[in-house]
Amino acid sequence: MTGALIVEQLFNGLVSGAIYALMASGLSLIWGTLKMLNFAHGEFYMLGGYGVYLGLTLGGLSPLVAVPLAVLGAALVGMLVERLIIHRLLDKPGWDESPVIATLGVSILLQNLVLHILGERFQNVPYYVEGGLSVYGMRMAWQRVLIVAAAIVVVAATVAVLKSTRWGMAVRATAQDRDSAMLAGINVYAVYLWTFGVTAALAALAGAMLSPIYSVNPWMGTALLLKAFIVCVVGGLGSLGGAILGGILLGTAESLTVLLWASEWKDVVAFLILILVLWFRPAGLMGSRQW
Amino acid sequence: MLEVSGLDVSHGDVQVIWDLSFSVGEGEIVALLGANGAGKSTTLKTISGLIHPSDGTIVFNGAAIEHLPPYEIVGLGIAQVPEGRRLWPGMTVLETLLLGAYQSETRERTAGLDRAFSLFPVLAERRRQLAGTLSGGEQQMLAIARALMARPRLLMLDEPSLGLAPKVVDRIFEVVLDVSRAGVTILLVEQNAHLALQVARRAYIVETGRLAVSGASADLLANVDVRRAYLGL
Repeated sequence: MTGALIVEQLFNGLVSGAIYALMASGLSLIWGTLKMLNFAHGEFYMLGGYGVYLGLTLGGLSPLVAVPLAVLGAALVGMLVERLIIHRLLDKPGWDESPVIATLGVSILLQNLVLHILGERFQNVPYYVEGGLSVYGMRMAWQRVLIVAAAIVVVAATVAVLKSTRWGMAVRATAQDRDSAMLAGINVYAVYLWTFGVTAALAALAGAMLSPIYSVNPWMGTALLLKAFIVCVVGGLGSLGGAILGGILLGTAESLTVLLWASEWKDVVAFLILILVLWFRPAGLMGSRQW
Repeated sequence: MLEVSGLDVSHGDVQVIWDLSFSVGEGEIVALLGANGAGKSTTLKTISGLIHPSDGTIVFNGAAIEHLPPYEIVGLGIAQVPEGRRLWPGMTVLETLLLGAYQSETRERTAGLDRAFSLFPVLAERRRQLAGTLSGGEQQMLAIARALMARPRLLMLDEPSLGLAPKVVDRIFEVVLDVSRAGVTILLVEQNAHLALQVARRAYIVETGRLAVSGASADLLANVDVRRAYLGL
Protein backbone atom coordinates (compact mmCIF):
# COMPACT_ATOMS: atom_id res chain seq x y z
CA MET A 1 0.00 0.00 0.00
CA THR A 2 1.48 3.29 -1.04
CA GLY A 3 0.95 6.69 0.48
CA ALA A 4 -0.57 7.89 -2.77
CA LEU A 5 -3.17 5.14 -2.64
CA ILE A 6 -4.17 6.08 0.90
CA VAL A 7 -4.54 9.75 0.00
CA GLU A 8 -6.49 8.81 -3.13
CA GLN A 9 -8.85 6.69 -1.09
CA LEU A 10 -9.23 9.41 1.54
CA PHE A 11 -10.17 11.76 -1.27
CA ASN A 12 -12.79 9.30 -2.48
CA GLY A 13 -14.10 9.26 1.08
CA LEU A 14 -14.35 13.04 0.94
CA VAL A 15 -16.41 12.74 -2.28
CA SER A 16 -18.94 10.40 -0.62
CA GLY A 17 -18.78 12.57 2.49
CA ALA A 18 -19.68 15.64 0.44
CA ILE A 19 -22.70 13.86 -1.03
CA TYR A 20 -23.77 12.59 2.40
CA ALA A 21 -23.42 16.09 3.83
CA LEU A 22 -25.57 17.59 1.05
CA MET A 23 -28.28 14.98 1.62
CA ALA A 24 -28.16 14.98 5.42
CA SER A 25 -28.17 18.77 5.76
CA GLY A 26 -31.48 18.83 3.87
CA LEU A 27 -32.99 16.18 6.14
CA SER A 28 -31.74 18.08 9.17
CA LEU A 29 -33.18 21.39 7.98
CA ILE A 30 -36.58 19.79 7.52
CA TRP A 31 -36.38 18.06 10.89
CA GLY A 32 -35.29 21.32 12.53
CA THR A 33 -38.09 23.47 11.12
CA LEU A 34 -41.01 21.05 10.65
CA LYS A 35 -40.06 18.33 13.19
CA MET A 36 -40.76 15.64 10.61
CA LEU A 37 -38.80 13.02 8.69
CA ASN A 38 -38.91 13.28 4.92
CA PHE A 39 -38.87 9.83 3.35
CA ALA A 40 -39.19 11.32 -0.13
CA HIS A 41 -35.83 13.11 0.23
CA GLY A 42 -34.02 10.39 -1.78
CA GLU A 43 -36.37 10.99 -4.69
CA PHE A 44 -35.27 14.62 -5.01
CA TYR A 45 -31.74 13.22 -5.39
CA MET A 46 -33.10 10.88 -8.08
CA LEU A 47 -34.91 13.74 -9.83
CA GLY A 48 -31.67 15.74 -9.88
CA GLY A 49 -29.92 12.80 -11.55
CA TYR A 50 -32.65 12.30 -14.14
CA GLY A 51 -32.84 16.05 -14.70
CA VAL A 52 -29.25 16.25 -15.89
CA TYR A 53 -29.58 12.97 -17.79
CA LEU A 54 -32.49 14.41 -19.77
CA GLY A 55 -30.82 17.79 -20.15
CA LEU A 56 -27.50 16.40 -21.37
CA THR A 57 -28.53 13.44 -23.55
CA LEU A 58 -31.94 14.48 -24.90
CA GLY A 59 -31.72 18.26 -24.63
CA GLY A 60 -28.07 18.46 -25.68
CA LEU A 61 -27.50 21.16 -23.06
CA SER A 62 -24.18 22.06 -21.46
CA PRO A 63 -23.79 20.83 -17.87
CA LEU A 64 -23.61 24.49 -16.84
CA VAL A 65 -27.24 24.85 -17.92
CA ALA A 66 -28.50 21.32 -17.25
CA VAL A 67 -27.41 21.15 -13.59
CA PRO A 68 -29.08 24.43 -12.50
CA LEU A 69 -32.23 23.47 -14.44
CA ALA A 70 -32.36 20.04 -12.78
CA VAL A 71 -31.84 21.57 -9.33
CA LEU A 72 -34.51 24.20 -9.95
CA GLY A 73 -36.95 21.59 -11.26
CA ALA A 74 -36.50 19.40 -8.19
CA ALA A 75 -36.92 22.44 -5.91
CA LEU A 76 -40.26 23.19 -7.58
CA VAL A 77 -41.38 19.58 -7.10
CA GLY A 78 -40.34 19.87 -3.43
CA MET A 79 -42.39 23.03 -2.96
CA LEU A 80 -45.35 21.40 -4.68
CA VAL A 81 -45.12 18.42 -2.30
CA GLU A 82 -45.08 20.80 0.67
CA ARG A 83 -48.05 22.87 -0.51
CA LEU A 84 -50.22 19.98 -1.74
CA ILE A 85 -49.51 17.40 0.97
CA ILE A 86 -47.47 18.49 3.99
CA HIS A 87 -49.28 21.81 4.39
CA ARG A 88 -52.61 19.99 4.72
CA LEU A 89 -51.30 17.75 7.51
CA LEU A 90 -49.80 20.57 9.60
CA ASP A 91 -51.46 21.47 12.92
CA LYS A 92 -53.74 18.44 12.62
CA PRO A 93 -53.89 15.48 15.02
CA GLY A 94 -51.49 12.67 14.11
CA TRP A 95 -48.56 14.90 13.08
CA ASP A 96 -46.18 12.41 14.74
CA GLU A 97 -46.79 9.81 12.07
CA SER A 98 -48.78 11.42 9.24
CA PRO A 99 -45.78 13.01 7.42
CA VAL A 100 -43.89 9.70 7.56
CA ILE A 101 -46.72 7.90 5.78
CA ALA A 102 -47.36 10.78 3.37
CA THR A 103 -43.71 11.16 2.33
CA LEU A 104 -43.33 7.38 1.92
CA GLY A 105 -46.28 7.64 -0.45
CA VAL A 106 -44.64 10.51 -2.35
CA SER A 107 -41.45 8.43 -2.57
CA ILE A 108 -43.30 5.46 -4.10
CA LEU A 109 -45.21 7.76 -6.44
CA LEU A 110 -42.12 9.53 -7.77
CA GLN A 111 -40.13 6.29 -8.20
CA ASN A 112 -42.93 4.66 -10.17
CA LEU A 113 -43.68 7.77 -12.18
CA VAL A 114 -40.06 7.89 -13.37
CA LEU A 115 -40.06 4.11 -13.90
CA HIS A 116 -43.21 4.39 -16.01
CA ILE A 117 -42.04 7.29 -18.14
CA LEU A 118 -38.32 6.60 -18.50
CA GLY A 119 -38.03 2.85 -17.93
CA GLU A 120 -36.11 0.71 -15.49
CA ARG A 121 -32.83 0.59 -17.37
CA PHE A 122 -29.81 2.24 -15.75
CA GLN A 123 -28.89 5.27 -17.84
CA ASN A 124 -25.39 6.63 -18.18
CA VAL A 125 -24.69 10.30 -17.81
CA PRO A 126 -21.52 11.66 -19.45
CA TYR A 127 -18.85 13.20 -17.23
CA TYR A 128 -19.06 16.99 -17.13
CA VAL A 129 -15.30 17.32 -17.49
CA GLU A 130 -13.08 14.60 -18.90
CA GLY A 131 -9.69 13.77 -17.48
CA GLY A 132 -8.34 14.27 -14.05
CA LEU A 133 -5.90 15.86 -11.75
CA SER A 134 -2.59 14.12 -11.25
CA VAL A 135 -0.38 15.12 -8.32
CA TYR A 136 2.57 13.07 -7.05
CA GLY A 137 1.21 9.93 -8.67
CA MET A 138 -2.30 10.40 -7.23
CA ARG A 139 -5.11 10.54 -9.75
CA MET A 140 -8.41 12.27 -9.10
CA ALA A 141 -11.07 12.62 -11.79
CA TRP A 142 -12.12 16.23 -12.36
CA GLN A 143 -15.73 15.12 -11.88
CA ARG A 144 -14.92 14.08 -8.31
CA VAL A 145 -13.02 17.30 -7.61
CA LEU A 146 -16.05 19.15 -8.96
CA ILE A 147 -18.40 17.28 -6.59
CA VAL A 148 -16.36 18.26 -3.54
CA ALA A 149 -16.03 21.87 -4.71
CA ALA A 150 -19.75 22.21 -5.46
CA ALA A 151 -20.71 20.67 -2.10
CA ILE A 152 -18.37 22.99 -0.17
CA VAL A 153 -19.64 26.09 -1.96
CA VAL A 154 -23.31 25.20 -1.63
CA VAL A 155 -23.18 24.07 2.00
CA ALA A 156 -21.14 27.15 2.97
CA ALA A 157 -23.64 29.36 1.14
CA THR A 158 -26.56 27.67 2.93
CA VAL A 159 -24.93 28.17 6.32
CA ALA A 160 -24.18 31.82 5.50
CA VAL A 161 -27.77 32.45 4.37
CA LEU A 162 -29.14 30.85 7.55
CA LYS A 163 -26.73 32.81 9.72
CA SER A 164 -27.07 36.29 8.37
CA THR A 165 -30.03 36.90 6.07
CA ARG A 166 -33.49 37.94 7.19
CA TRP A 167 -34.96 34.76 5.68
CA GLY A 168 -32.32 32.57 7.32
CA MET A 169 -33.03 34.13 10.70
CA ALA A 170 -36.73 33.43 10.20
CA VAL A 171 -35.92 29.75 9.49
CA ARG A 172 -33.77 29.49 12.63
CA ALA A 173 -36.40 31.25 14.76
CA THR A 174 -39.07 28.86 13.47
CA ALA A 175 -36.84 25.90 14.32
CA GLN A 176 -36.06 27.16 17.82
CA ASP A 177 -39.57 28.22 18.85
CA ARG A 178 -42.37 28.16 16.34
CA ASP A 179 -44.95 30.05 18.41
CA SER A 180 -42.50 32.85 19.17
CA ALA A 181 -41.67 33.06 15.47
CA MET A 182 -45.36 33.47 14.65
CA LEU A 183 -45.78 36.12 17.37
CA ALA A 184 -42.84 38.03 15.87
CA GLY A 185 -44.77 38.23 12.62
CA ILE A 186 -42.96 35.48 10.71
CA ASN A 187 -45.15 33.57 8.26
CA VAL A 188 -43.97 30.09 9.29
CA TYR A 189 -45.97 28.47 6.47
CA ALA A 190 -43.86 30.37 3.96
CA VAL A 191 -40.76 29.24 5.88
CA TYR A 192 -41.90 25.60 5.53
CA LEU A 193 -42.52 26.02 1.81
CA TRP A 194 -39.11 27.52 1.10
CA THR A 195 -37.36 25.03 3.39
CA PHE A 196 -38.81 22.20 1.30
CA GLY A 197 -37.65 23.91 -1.89
CA VAL A 198 -34.12 24.51 -0.60
CA THR A 199 -33.69 20.98 0.79
CA ALA A 200 -34.99 19.41 -2.43
CA ALA A 201 -32.47 21.57 -4.31
CA LEU A 202 -29.61 20.36 -2.07
CA ALA A 203 -30.57 16.71 -2.68
CA ALA A 204 -31.00 17.30 -6.42
CA LEU A 205 -27.57 18.92 -6.61
CA ALA A 206 -26.07 15.82 -4.99
CA GLY A 207 -27.85 13.62 -7.55
CA ALA A 208 -26.87 15.84 -10.46
CA MET A 209 -23.19 15.89 -9.51
CA LEU A 210 -22.90 12.18 -8.72
CA SER A 211 -24.92 10.76 -11.64
CA PRO A 212 -21.98 10.64 -14.13
CA ILE A 213 -20.13 8.35 -11.70
CA TYR A 214 -22.96 5.95 -10.75
CA SER A 215 -25.50 6.33 -13.62
CA VAL A 216 -29.18 6.97 -12.88
CA ASN A 217 -32.12 4.67 -12.11
CA PRO A 218 -35.51 5.15 -10.44
CA TRP A 219 -34.36 3.62 -7.12
CA MET A 220 -31.04 5.43 -6.76
CA GLY A 221 -32.32 7.54 -3.86
CA THR A 222 -33.39 4.68 -1.58
CA ALA A 223 -30.00 3.38 -0.44
CA LEU A 224 -28.58 6.90 -0.14
CA LEU A 225 -31.53 8.05 2.00
CA LEU A 226 -30.73 5.34 4.52
CA LYS A 227 -27.13 6.55 4.69
CA ALA A 228 -28.29 10.14 5.03
CA PHE A 229 -30.47 9.15 7.99
CA ILE A 230 -27.44 7.47 9.60
CA VAL A 231 -25.44 10.66 9.05
CA CYS A 232 -28.23 12.76 10.61
CA VAL A 233 -28.45 10.56 13.69
CA VAL A 234 -24.66 10.36 14.08
CA GLY A 235 -24.29 14.13 13.70
CA GLY A 236 -27.38 14.95 15.78
CA LEU A 237 -30.82 15.17 14.15
CA GLY A 238 -31.68 18.75 13.34
CA SER A 239 -28.08 19.98 13.59
CA LEU A 240 -26.65 21.39 10.38
CA GLY A 241 -23.05 21.26 11.62
CA GLY A 242 -23.68 17.67 12.71
CA ALA A 243 -24.90 16.74 9.23
CA ILE A 244 -21.72 18.10 7.65
CA LEU A 245 -19.41 16.55 10.24
CA GLY A 246 -21.29 13.23 10.20
CA GLY A 247 -21.24 13.12 6.40
CA ILE A 248 -17.49 13.56 6.14
CA LEU A 249 -16.93 11.11 9.01
CA LEU A 250 -19.05 8.41 7.41
CA GLY A 251 -17.60 8.93 3.92
CA THR A 252 -14.05 8.69 5.22
CA ALA A 253 -14.78 5.65 7.40
CA GLU A 254 -16.36 3.84 4.45
CA SER A 255 -13.51 4.47 2.06
CA LEU A 256 -10.93 3.44 4.67
CA THR A 257 -12.90 0.22 5.12
CA VAL A 258 -12.71 -0.40 1.38
CA LEU A 259 -8.96 0.22 1.45
CA LEU A 260 -8.07 -1.81 4.54
CA TRP A 261 -10.72 -4.51 4.38
CA ALA A 262 -13.23 -5.08 1.58
CA SER A 263 -16.00 -3.01 0.01
CA GLU A 264 -18.69 -5.46 1.22
CA TRP A 265 -17.93 -4.37 4.76
CA LYS A 266 -18.53 -0.66 4.30
CA ASP A 267 -22.24 -0.79 5.19
CA VAL A 268 -21.36 -2.85 8.26
CA VAL A 269 -18.95 -0.14 9.37
CA ALA A 270 -21.57 2.55 8.69
CA PHE A 271 -24.14 0.84 10.90
CA LEU A 272 -21.50 0.03 13.52
CA ILE A 273 -20.72 3.75 13.80
CA LEU A 274 -24.45 4.41 14.16
CA ILE A 275 -24.77 1.86 16.96
CA LEU A 276 -21.70 3.19 18.78
CA VAL A 277 -22.93 6.78 18.61
CA LEU A 278 -26.39 5.78 19.81
CA TRP A 279 -24.74 3.89 22.63
CA PHE A 280 -22.36 6.53 23.91
CA ARG A 281 -23.87 9.78 22.67
CA PRO A 282 -27.56 9.23 21.89
CA ALA A 283 -28.22 12.87 20.97
CA GLY A 284 -25.55 12.68 18.24
CA LEU A 285 -22.14 14.30 18.02
CA MET A 286 -23.56 17.85 17.86
CA GLY A 287 -27.07 17.04 19.03
CA SER A 288 -27.79 19.87 21.41
CA ARG A 289 -26.25 22.64 19.33
CA GLN A 290 -28.66 25.29 18.13
CA TRP A 291 -28.27 26.79 14.69
CA MET B 1 -59.72 49.51 20.67
CA LEU B 2 -60.06 45.78 21.38
CA GLU B 3 -63.53 44.29 21.65
CA VAL B 4 -63.87 40.59 22.51
CA SER B 5 -67.43 39.26 22.50
CA GLY B 6 -68.97 35.85 23.09
CA LEU B 7 -65.64 34.04 22.74
CA ASP B 8 -65.67 30.22 22.82
CA VAL B 9 -62.32 28.39 22.52
CA SER B 10 -61.63 24.66 22.60
CA HIS B 11 -58.47 22.58 22.87
CA GLY B 12 -59.49 19.57 20.80
CA ASP B 13 -62.72 18.32 22.37
CA VAL B 14 -62.33 20.26 25.59
CA GLN B 15 -63.86 23.73 25.72
CA VAL B 16 -61.70 26.03 27.83
CA ILE B 17 -63.25 29.47 27.20
CA TRP B 18 -66.99 29.98 27.52
CA ASP B 19 -68.80 33.06 26.19
CA LEU B 20 -66.06 35.47 27.27
CA SER B 21 -66.56 39.16 26.54
CA PHE B 22 -64.38 42.11 27.49
CA SER B 23 -62.94 45.27 26.02
CA VAL B 24 -59.79 47.35 26.20
CA GLY B 25 -59.91 51.06 25.41
CA GLU B 26 -57.22 53.14 23.71
CA GLY B 27 -54.42 54.00 26.14
CA GLU B 28 -55.77 51.86 29.00
CA ILE B 29 -53.97 49.31 31.14
CA VAL B 30 -56.41 46.44 31.65
CA ALA B 31 -55.67 43.31 33.70
CA LEU B 32 -57.02 39.83 33.08
CA LEU B 33 -56.83 37.94 36.36
CA GLY B 34 -57.64 34.46 37.55
CA ALA B 35 -56.22 31.26 38.96
CA ASN B 36 -53.87 28.94 37.14
CA GLY B 37 -55.76 27.23 34.32
CA ALA B 38 -58.59 29.75 34.22
CA GLY B 39 -57.97 30.35 30.52
CA LYS B 40 -56.06 33.64 30.62
CA SER B 41 -53.17 32.50 28.41
CA THR B 42 -55.58 30.82 26.00
CA THR B 43 -57.43 34.13 25.67
CA LEU B 44 -54.22 35.97 24.75
CA LYS B 45 -53.20 33.26 22.27
CA THR B 46 -56.61 33.53 20.65
CA ILE B 47 -56.27 37.30 20.27
CA SER B 48 -52.78 36.78 18.75
CA GLY B 49 -54.15 34.24 16.28
CA LEU B 50 -52.11 31.26 17.54
CA ILE B 51 -55.47 29.60 18.32
CA HIS B 52 -58.73 30.23 16.50
CA PRO B 53 -62.01 30.44 18.43
CA SER B 54 -64.93 28.13 17.72
CA ASP B 55 -67.33 31.02 18.20
CA GLY B 56 -67.37 34.73 19.02
CA THR B 57 -65.68 37.79 17.57
CA ILE B 58 -62.49 39.75 18.25
CA VAL B 59 -62.53 43.24 16.82
CA PHE B 60 -59.38 45.38 16.81
CA ASN B 61 -59.75 49.00 15.70
CA GLY B 62 -62.89 48.12 13.80
CA ALA B 63 -61.50 45.05 12.00
CA ALA B 64 -62.53 41.47 12.79
CA ILE B 65 -59.32 39.53 13.46
CA GLU B 66 -60.50 36.21 14.93
CA HIS B 67 -59.71 34.26 11.74
CA LEU B 68 -56.50 36.03 10.72
CA PRO B 69 -53.10 34.28 10.99
CA PRO B 70 -50.68 35.64 13.65
CA TYR B 71 -48.36 37.36 11.15
CA GLU B 72 -51.24 39.52 9.88
CA ILE B 73 -52.39 40.34 13.41
CA VAL B 74 -48.85 41.52 14.27
CA GLY B 75 -49.02 43.76 11.22
CA LEU B 76 -52.22 45.35 12.55
CA GLY B 77 -50.41 46.38 15.75
CA ILE B 78 -50.89 43.67 18.38
CA ALA B 79 -47.79 42.17 20.01
CA GLN B 80 -47.65 39.52 22.72
CA VAL B 81 -45.01 38.75 25.32
CA PRO B 82 -45.65 35.03 25.80
CA GLU B 83 -45.78 33.24 29.14
CA GLY B 84 -42.37 31.89 30.15
CA ARG B 85 -40.76 34.43 27.74
CA ARG B 86 -40.24 31.86 24.96
CA LEU B 87 -36.99 33.35 23.65
CA TRP B 88 -34.98 31.61 20.91
CA PRO B 89 -32.16 30.06 22.96
CA GLY B 90 -29.65 30.04 20.09
CA MET B 91 -30.19 33.66 19.01
CA THR B 92 -28.16 36.57 20.26
CA VAL B 93 -29.86 39.52 21.94
CA LEU B 94 -29.34 41.58 18.78
CA GLU B 95 -30.77 38.87 16.50
CA THR B 96 -33.78 38.46 18.79
CA LEU B 97 -34.55 42.17 18.65
CA LEU B 98 -34.10 42.35 14.87
CA LEU B 99 -36.49 39.40 14.47
CA GLY B 100 -39.00 41.22 16.69
CA ALA B 101 -39.19 43.82 13.92
CA TYR B 102 -39.38 41.14 11.22
CA GLN B 103 -42.00 42.95 9.16
CA SER B 104 -40.45 46.43 9.46
CA GLU B 105 -38.23 48.36 7.09
CA THR B 106 -34.49 48.50 7.82
CA ARG B 107 -34.65 52.13 8.94
CA GLU B 108 -37.47 51.42 11.39
CA ARG B 109 -35.53 48.46 12.74
CA THR B 110 -32.53 50.64 13.54
CA ALA B 111 -34.76 53.18 15.29
CA GLY B 112 -36.41 50.35 17.20
CA LEU B 113 -33.04 49.08 18.39
CA ASP B 114 -32.17 52.53 19.73
CA ARG B 115 -35.46 52.66 21.63
CA ALA B 116 -35.00 49.15 23.03
CA PHE B 117 -31.45 49.88 24.19
CA SER B 118 -32.45 53.15 25.85
CA LEU B 119 -35.34 51.40 27.63
CA PHE B 120 -33.12 48.46 28.68
CA PRO B 121 -29.44 49.56 28.71
CA VAL B 122 -28.44 46.10 29.97
CA LEU B 123 -29.52 44.60 26.62
CA ALA B 124 -27.11 46.89 24.78
CA GLU B 125 -24.26 45.55 26.90
CA ARG B 126 -25.32 41.97 26.22
CA ARG B 127 -26.17 42.37 22.54
CA ARG B 128 -23.71 39.67 21.38
CA GLN B 129 -24.75 37.20 24.08
CA LEU B 130 -27.08 34.27 23.39
CA ALA B 131 -30.61 34.81 24.74
CA GLY B 132 -30.47 31.48 26.57
CA THR B 133 -27.53 32.65 28.70
CA LEU B 134 -29.23 35.74 30.16
CA SER B 135 -30.59 35.90 33.72
CA GLY B 136 -34.35 35.51 34.25
CA GLY B 137 -34.95 39.24 34.61
CA GLU B 138 -32.85 40.06 31.56
CA GLN B 139 -34.74 37.42 29.57
CA GLN B 140 -38.06 39.01 30.53
CA MET B 141 -36.73 42.44 29.51
CA LEU B 142 -35.58 40.96 26.18
CA ALA B 143 -39.00 39.37 25.64
CA ILE B 144 -40.71 42.73 26.25
CA ALA B 145 -38.19 44.56 24.07
CA ARG B 146 -38.72 42.00 21.27
CA ALA B 147 -42.49 42.59 21.35
CA LEU B 148 -41.98 46.39 21.34
CA MET B 149 -39.75 46.11 18.25
CA ALA B 150 -42.91 45.48 16.21
CA ARG B 151 -44.17 48.97 17.29
CA PRO B 152 -47.46 47.59 18.66
CA ARG B 153 -50.46 49.76 19.54
CA LEU B 154 -51.65 47.00 21.89
CA LEU B 155 -49.10 45.12 24.00
CA MET B 156 -50.27 41.92 25.70
CA LEU B 157 -48.13 40.61 28.55
CA ASP B 158 -48.59 37.07 29.83
CA GLU B 159 -47.38 36.62 33.43
CA PRO B 160 -44.40 38.98 33.23
CA SER B 161 -43.65 38.52 36.95
CA LEU B 162 -43.41 34.72 36.75
CA GLY B 163 -40.33 33.32 38.48
CA LEU B 164 -38.65 36.70 39.05
CA ALA B 165 -37.27 38.25 42.24
CA PRO B 166 -39.47 41.04 43.72
CA LYS B 167 -36.92 43.72 42.89
CA VAL B 168 -36.81 42.60 39.25
CA VAL B 169 -40.61 42.46 39.12
CA ASP B 170 -40.74 46.11 40.29
CA ARG B 171 -38.36 47.06 37.49
CA ILE B 172 -40.48 45.19 34.89
CA PHE B 173 -43.65 46.94 36.05
CA GLU B 174 -41.92 50.35 35.95
CA VAL B 175 -41.17 49.60 32.31
CA VAL B 176 -44.79 48.57 31.66
CA LEU B 177 -45.91 51.96 33.06
CA ASP B 178 -43.29 53.74 30.90
CA VAL B 179 -44.53 51.94 27.81
CA SER B 180 -48.10 52.84 28.69
CA ARG B 181 -47.17 56.51 29.12
CA ALA B 182 -45.61 56.39 25.67
CA GLY B 183 -49.09 55.70 24.30
CA VAL B 184 -49.20 51.91 24.01
CA THR B 185 -52.39 50.22 25.23
CA ILE B 186 -51.72 47.30 27.58
CA LEU B 187 -53.54 44.06 28.34
CA LEU B 188 -51.92 42.37 31.31
CA VAL B 189 -52.40 38.77 32.38
CA GLU B 190 -51.21 38.06 35.91
CA GLN B 191 -51.54 35.56 38.71
CA ASN B 192 -50.13 38.16 41.06
CA ALA B 193 -53.43 40.04 41.37
CA HIS B 194 -52.26 42.50 43.98
CA LEU B 195 -49.48 43.72 41.72
CA ALA B 196 -51.63 43.82 38.60
CA LEU B 197 -54.38 45.87 40.29
CA GLN B 198 -51.81 48.47 41.28
CA VAL B 199 -50.89 49.24 37.68
CA ALA B 200 -54.17 48.46 35.88
CA ARG B 201 -57.12 50.84 35.96
CA ARG B 202 -59.67 48.11 35.25
CA ALA B 203 -59.64 44.34 35.58
CA TYR B 204 -61.57 41.28 34.50
CA ILE B 205 -61.48 38.15 36.66
CA VAL B 206 -61.97 34.83 34.85
CA GLU B 207 -62.84 31.57 36.53
CA THR B 208 -62.69 28.22 34.66
CA GLY B 209 -63.03 29.92 31.31
CA ARG B 210 -65.93 32.22 32.21
CA LEU B 211 -66.00 35.88 33.16
CA ALA B 212 -66.65 36.07 36.93
CA VAL B 213 -66.29 39.71 37.96
CA SER B 214 -65.12 42.91 36.34
CA GLY B 215 -64.69 46.50 37.40
CA ALA B 216 -62.33 49.28 38.33
CA SER B 217 -59.23 48.10 40.17
CA ALA B 218 -59.98 50.28 43.17
CA ASP B 219 -63.50 48.81 43.51
CA LEU B 220 -62.25 45.24 43.17
CA LEU B 221 -59.58 45.83 45.80
CA ALA B 222 -62.17 47.41 48.12
CA ASN B 223 -64.74 44.62 47.78
CA VAL B 224 -64.25 42.14 50.61
CA ASP B 225 -66.07 39.29 48.84
CA VAL B 226 -64.05 39.69 45.66
CA ARG B 227 -60.83 39.90 47.63
CA ARG B 228 -61.58 36.70 49.46
CA ALA B 229 -63.06 34.67 46.60
CA TYR B 230 -60.86 35.62 43.70
CA LEU B 231 -57.83 37.57 44.74
CA GLY B 232 -56.67 35.59 47.75
CA LEU B 233 -55.94 38.85 49.53
